[in-house]
Amino acid sequence: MADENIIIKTLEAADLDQVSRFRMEREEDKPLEIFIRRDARKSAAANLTQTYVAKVEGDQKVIGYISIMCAEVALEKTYEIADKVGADRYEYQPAVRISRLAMATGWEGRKIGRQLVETAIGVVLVSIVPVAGCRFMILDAKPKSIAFYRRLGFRLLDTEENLKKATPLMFLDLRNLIDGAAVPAAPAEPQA
Amino acid sequence: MAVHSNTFGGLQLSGPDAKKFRSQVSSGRPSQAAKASALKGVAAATQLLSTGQVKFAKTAA
Repeated sequence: MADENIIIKTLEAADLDQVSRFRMEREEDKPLEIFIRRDARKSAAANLTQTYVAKVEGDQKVIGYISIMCAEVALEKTYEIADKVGADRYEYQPAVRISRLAMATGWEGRKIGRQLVETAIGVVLVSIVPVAGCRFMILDAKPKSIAFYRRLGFRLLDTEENLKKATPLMFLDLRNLIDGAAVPAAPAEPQA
Repeated sequence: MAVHSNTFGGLQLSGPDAKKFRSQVSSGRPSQAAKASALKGVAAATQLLSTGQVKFAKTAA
């Protein structure tokens, strides 16, 4: 391989991003394999999810991916926002869900999954929060992945019901995560 | 009480789960881990959105 860098980019057409050889050995991971090989592009074309892929630079083969989608958190009017009186009147809070994260067999344990999640967090902070607002990132974590997401700052909802689930809910509150100045300003609109 | 995720991303919490979520959100400041992820993520996303890709050094397994 000529270049040893990893790149992350939005999933594009098959001649640019090859997914047909994406393999995951464990039977429980087959839905993740099927999604990237068969459904990810259709889902993006339908504006349901967006998928970001990892590849070795100079190689078209996809070795990992993350998919995110718009979501909401409904809290039966029990939620308040400290700096916005009456926010609990809103039944739903805006969120982005990490719906899938996968590494092809042989590529685990190289911190690429971590880079995919960090990039997704950044995309939400840079391109969604300033434009449309978004308070949370949420996901349903496999038990083996809970420690991984904790290291990235996600919190496990600490209730008996949630902890009993096969894939417990984890969330990241996006408020006050970064200084506003750290997010680059959008390009200025051209003057007429 | 319930934690329910639907097909299109939505999350519905009720009873103790909703109250606990509210409590966890209201208490404390963002963790250092969350802040670090956000800072790295913003740098990566800025590069991704301006050049079409973000590049990382490959890490050995």
